[in-house]
Amino acid sequence: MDLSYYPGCTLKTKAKDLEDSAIACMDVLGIRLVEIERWNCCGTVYSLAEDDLAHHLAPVRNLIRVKEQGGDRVGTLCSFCYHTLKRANMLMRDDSEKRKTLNDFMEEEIDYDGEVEVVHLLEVLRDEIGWENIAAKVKVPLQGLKVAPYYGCTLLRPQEVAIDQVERPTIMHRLMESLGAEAVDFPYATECCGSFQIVRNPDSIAQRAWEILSSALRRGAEAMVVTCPLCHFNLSQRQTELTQKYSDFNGLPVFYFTQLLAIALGIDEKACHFELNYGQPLALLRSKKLVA
Amino acid sequence: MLSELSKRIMGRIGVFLCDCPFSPLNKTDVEELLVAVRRSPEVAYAGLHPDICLSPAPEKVAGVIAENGLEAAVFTSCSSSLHKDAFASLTSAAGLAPNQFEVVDFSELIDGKEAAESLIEAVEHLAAESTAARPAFEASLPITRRALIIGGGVAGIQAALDIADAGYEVYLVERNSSIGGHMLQYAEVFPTLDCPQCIMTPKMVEVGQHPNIKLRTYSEVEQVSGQVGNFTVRIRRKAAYVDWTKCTGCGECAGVCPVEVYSEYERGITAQKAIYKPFGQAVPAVFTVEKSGISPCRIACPAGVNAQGYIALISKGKFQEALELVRQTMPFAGVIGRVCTHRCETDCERKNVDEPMSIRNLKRFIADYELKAGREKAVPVEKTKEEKIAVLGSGPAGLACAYDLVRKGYPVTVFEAMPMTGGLLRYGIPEYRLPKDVLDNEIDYIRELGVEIKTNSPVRDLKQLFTSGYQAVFLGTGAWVSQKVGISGENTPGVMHAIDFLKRVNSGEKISLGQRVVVIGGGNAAVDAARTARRLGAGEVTIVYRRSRDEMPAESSEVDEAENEGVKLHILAAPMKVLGQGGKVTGVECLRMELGEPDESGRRRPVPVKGSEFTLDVDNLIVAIGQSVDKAGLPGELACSERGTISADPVTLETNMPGVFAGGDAVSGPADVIGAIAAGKEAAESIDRYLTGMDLRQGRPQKRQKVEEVSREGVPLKPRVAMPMLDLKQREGSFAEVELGLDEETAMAEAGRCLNCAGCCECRSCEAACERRAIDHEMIDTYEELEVGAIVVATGFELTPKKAISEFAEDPDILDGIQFERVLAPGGANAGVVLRPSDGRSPKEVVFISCVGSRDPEHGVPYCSRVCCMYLAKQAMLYKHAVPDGQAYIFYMDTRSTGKGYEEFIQRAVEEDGVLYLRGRVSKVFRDADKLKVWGADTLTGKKIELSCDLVVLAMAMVPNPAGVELMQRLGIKTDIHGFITEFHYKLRPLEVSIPGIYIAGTAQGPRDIPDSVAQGSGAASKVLALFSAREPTPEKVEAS
Amino acid sequence: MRIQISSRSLQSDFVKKVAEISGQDLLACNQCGKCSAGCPMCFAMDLLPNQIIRLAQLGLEDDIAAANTVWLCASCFTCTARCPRGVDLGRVMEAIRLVTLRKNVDYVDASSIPVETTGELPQIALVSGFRKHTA
Repeated sequence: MDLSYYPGCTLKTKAKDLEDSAIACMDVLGIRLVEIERWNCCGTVYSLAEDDLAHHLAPVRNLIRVKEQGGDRVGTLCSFCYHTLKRANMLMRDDSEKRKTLNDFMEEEIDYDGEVEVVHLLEVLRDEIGWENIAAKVKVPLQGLKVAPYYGCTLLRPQEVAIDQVERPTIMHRLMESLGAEAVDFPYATECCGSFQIVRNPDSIAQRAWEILSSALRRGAEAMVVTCPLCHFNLSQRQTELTQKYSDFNGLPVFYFTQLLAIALGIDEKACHFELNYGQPLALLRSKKLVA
Repeated sequence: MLSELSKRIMGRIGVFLCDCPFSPLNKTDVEELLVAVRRSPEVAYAGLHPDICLSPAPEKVAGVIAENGLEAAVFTSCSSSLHKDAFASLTSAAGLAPNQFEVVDFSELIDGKEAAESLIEAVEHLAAESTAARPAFEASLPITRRALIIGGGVAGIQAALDIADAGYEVYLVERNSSIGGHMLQYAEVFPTLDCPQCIMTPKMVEVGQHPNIKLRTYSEVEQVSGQVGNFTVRIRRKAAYVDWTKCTGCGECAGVCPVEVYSEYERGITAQKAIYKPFGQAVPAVFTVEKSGISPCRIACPAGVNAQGYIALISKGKFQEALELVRQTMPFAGVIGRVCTHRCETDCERKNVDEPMSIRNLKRFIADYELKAGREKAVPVEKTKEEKIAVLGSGPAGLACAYDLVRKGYPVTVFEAMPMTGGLLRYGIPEYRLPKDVLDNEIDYIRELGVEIKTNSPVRDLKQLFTSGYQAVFLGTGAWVSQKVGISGENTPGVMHAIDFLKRVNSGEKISLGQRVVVIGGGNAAVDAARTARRLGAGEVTIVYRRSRDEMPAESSEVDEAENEGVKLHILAAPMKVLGQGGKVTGVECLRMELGEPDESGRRRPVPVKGSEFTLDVDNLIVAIGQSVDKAGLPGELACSERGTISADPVTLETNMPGVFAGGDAVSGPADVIGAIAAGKEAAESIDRYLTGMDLRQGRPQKRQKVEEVSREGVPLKPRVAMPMLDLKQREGSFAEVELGLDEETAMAEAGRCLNCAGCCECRSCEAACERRAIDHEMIDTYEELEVGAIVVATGFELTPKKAISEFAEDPDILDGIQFERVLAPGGANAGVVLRPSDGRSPKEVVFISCVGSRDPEHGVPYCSRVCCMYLAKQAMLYKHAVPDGQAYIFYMDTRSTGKGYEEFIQRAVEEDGVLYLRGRVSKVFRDADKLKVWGADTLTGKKIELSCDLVVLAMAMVPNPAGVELMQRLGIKTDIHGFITEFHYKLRPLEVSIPGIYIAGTAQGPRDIPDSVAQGSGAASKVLALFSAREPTPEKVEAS
Repeated sequence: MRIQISSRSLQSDFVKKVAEISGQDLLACNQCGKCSAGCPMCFAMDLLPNQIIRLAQLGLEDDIAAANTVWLCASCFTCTARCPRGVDLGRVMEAIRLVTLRKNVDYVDASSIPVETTGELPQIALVSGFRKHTA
């Protein structure tokens, strides 16, 4: 089965590990991710101003691409892209005035009325493939791996974009369990990592990362699994300074959910690009005899 | 919409516009409106009248009506509900027939166009109604001066007492088994800090003993019809399974009950027994059984063994009682506990949590427990009947039949053809699965009860049995003839058939087998034969089966063990020819199979693969493809089926010969042991009915109600215990039992996993313990109809469930207000010593959170729950009194302390008990090791507050009792969008509803505290008394609801 | 600290602008504090989120400008999700930021970010950071 796929800027470079492992996994699971042509940057954030229409053009153009190229659905991997595309899509569906203005402005494009559905890959795994089918394809059960699923914000809030329950999501927990790992529930699973504050106020990110990582550690986690490249960056890159600041903190490997999925499906670790990850994620996997 | 059938009142309607300061109409509006309405042909008069409700206007109006011969009138008014009665009196005084008027509120006149439409609509509505079609309310109907109060909480109790004291009969209906309501759950009440049990008990006892009050607890109102003064009410009195006229409330029953269920009164802080009195001061002071049907395990068992019952008893260490319970149904706990196909486990609800209960292994445990300790000889049953009964066959069917019959007092003789008893239990099932001493013990028990068993006694001639004095016969002769494959060479020496093979081994015969043995077949007999062959020294044992492994009919654990023991499985192959040489079998030629389309059994048909022949070299071949009934051994007159089994009625088990019944493998063909036992039992029932001249079919098969919904909430995951197995090395060449059995600790732990689906398990321990013989498990609901003149609805409130606000974790130490009352209450789990539910430690820091789910239009209800500010302050104070070195925090938005002494009470909490009030709502509460983390805010200082505490109490929003809301819907009483009852007029008629004769009191109408509820109870009572004192009932316009 | 408020200050351009850009009814907030209680960034904020909206209700633009609160907001929408009154505080924060940003006053200056950092940061960080903190 084919699924139109929107990568977004980060997946092609800084988060190649997320993209490559995802494509390899979906291949094994029977879904071909077909990158849409001529996509543009979605803008990363959904404009929250009532009077701002210009910033909606970017995400809507991507949705038009999908429609033009014959798709009725587009799958995303980046949490920011998911959030932005999803909310822009809902705007086009629900606000007839703004829809008209935007369509009129983009006179060179076909009209768009919100016909495309925006989904995140986790939803596809849960709803189209199903946890049991994924479990059946597992070649290397992630036995003995205690991993804390960290969801972040943009996949769950506000309610209208949520891919799962806002306060107590379990979608990544279920995925980890289907791979044979132990999903460690911890109270900071939906607490914001600080997001774009990394640009202007990086110290605040160190504080947030510490709170999130130490909460997972207190619950017995050996690793963390995330969906978003910014969460991944914020939670990993500050670990060097945190290990220096807190003497009994020895780092916590952070994985993308697709990397763990790939290992479990028996896909070669090269597709996971662990070299792009901070710290020693491979060392943990080796100690659990999950990779050679 | 105008009805074509009704007579139109032409030119006979008057429109009277009220001119008063509240009217939204100015001069021009009035002119336009009058012009508009005058256009209607029905309108004879339209005019403006100042202050239409105040004299002299009404007189003027009356005059106008008379002069113009009007038959109906439309009025405009500030409030139709307030002035309806006035207009009713006005029009009737003016001579109009009752209810020939309409009122249009000012609110409908604000928009000019709509105003005209509203008035004309009212005109047309009146015009369409023919006076003949609507009979006038009969003023001379006698009213029933009896009241019904729905709800036995504090408001209902007050209303009941007031009306009863005035001399009228009152029925007080309460759905719980005791009156008292939520107030009886509290520790102390604000602001007086009275003990509610102490102050309410006298009132409750008064209700219970009042000569005018008929108390109907554990009852529900099903239906109300009729009208004010004459309501007909149907009440359902739920079966309590205890006869309350006999129960003294002594509690011996609860002491022996092994089942614990959720206690509504304790609200989850502790459990209660399935037979319970809700609290010490209950009125009536009697016990009730909570039972919601029959659990799935019991329904699944064809013999009706009470699995839930014996498992509940095991969980409490009552092993002998558990075994006695099994023996009430059948005598084979040890046998069935080893070999049953456990249909109960397949249907067990626990499998929807993690894994099904280990029901079979637990049954085996109690049998072994008694056997190890030494069983006391059974007391022979007294023979009270004279009719002799013959049972043919001492297998499970025959012995189960004999067991039931001897216990009914019949003399029973079992005729067994073989030298020993037990049928296939002894001769078919190998020792390592079912040790003979276990079987012997249970058959001895049956003998000790008085059943005569004659071995080596085959019976061929049934007629002879009857002539020699037997009055009924049960045929439980089984199916022993091994089916043949039908291939050439099947008679070669060295080829055996499974049943013969196993019979010989189990008879103690020494059989020597060669090294290579092939077993044909995939059922239990094949696996038994294969594993037996291994034990007899065959080095290479192979099972050849024509379908796949998953489709083998044998129990899968048996197949697993066979493989563990070195038996090879050759699936998708079937034998074609037996090869022999020198008068001995040397090999078997087979053909590979593949699976084709499903056959009638639903299993995929094996299809031969052409050209895939192969040969297996063998020293012995054992054929185990099934058994059939020995037709030759059956009397000629006995009708048989096409398959060669005995024909018997599926319900009564009658055969074509009168007085002869049959069941088990002889009727069904090879099946399981429990099926045979069930058949034996059914036959015993039939024989008893036959001999006592009763109808054989009545009430059979017995209809049993399976429990519908089983809650799996909050059940921690715990897989089922594993059965310890004999080490593989020790099994070689040995027939020692392979499954070793559970020990006491493991058995009790496993039994503790049972969900107790049905609540009460009907183990009847309570019945045995009750000296007054008050317990009756066969009770059914009963119904009562009564006539009443007035009804008071006081159905009370509930709290929003904690999980509705999901940012607060689900945790044993996060409680709602009523749960914390139970912790604080002197009559609670720890007698008022405040301990944390999770670890029993004393909490030193407790956080109380206001407004959870209330004042929250986004996630809960928008309204304020009114009482929480007060009860949180009270609970904080009581906590401090109980834990003087503790600290209480209350997060609040506002402090609503509006009653007498309330504000002072709050101040006491702050100044005397050091309660710290933090102004802000809480965003999240979660567990961190043994503490609870609370994230709140103090907006007064502008700080985000993080607290690490030991216990959290949430003030959940008060909502109307869902059972009450559902009742209101059924009765057609209006409620608002939150489910609170809508009063007739918010300000001035707060105790009445849209239906005359029905009054309201208490929190069913909205959040309020105890004094208000009590006052309303008295208020509603006064309304009822006013109705009852009226000479004639006043005609009240019945509103369409 | 004494302030003067009047119906004019309550209807100031600032108040109107914030309400317009955010599309929110500022008066719907009854200052319960739940937003502040759950805000992940308030450990570094001068004023709490609920105080900011209170100041906006009162039209006190300068006090808001003097605090770093709106600039530390991470647009995580926790406040939006949990507000009992349904106020989308995320939008209010954005609106207040935009009132400043649209005067061509940026919060972040590209040249102030070290080159190594720009090289390291994932694109979504840079783009979203600039989207939120510049006009």
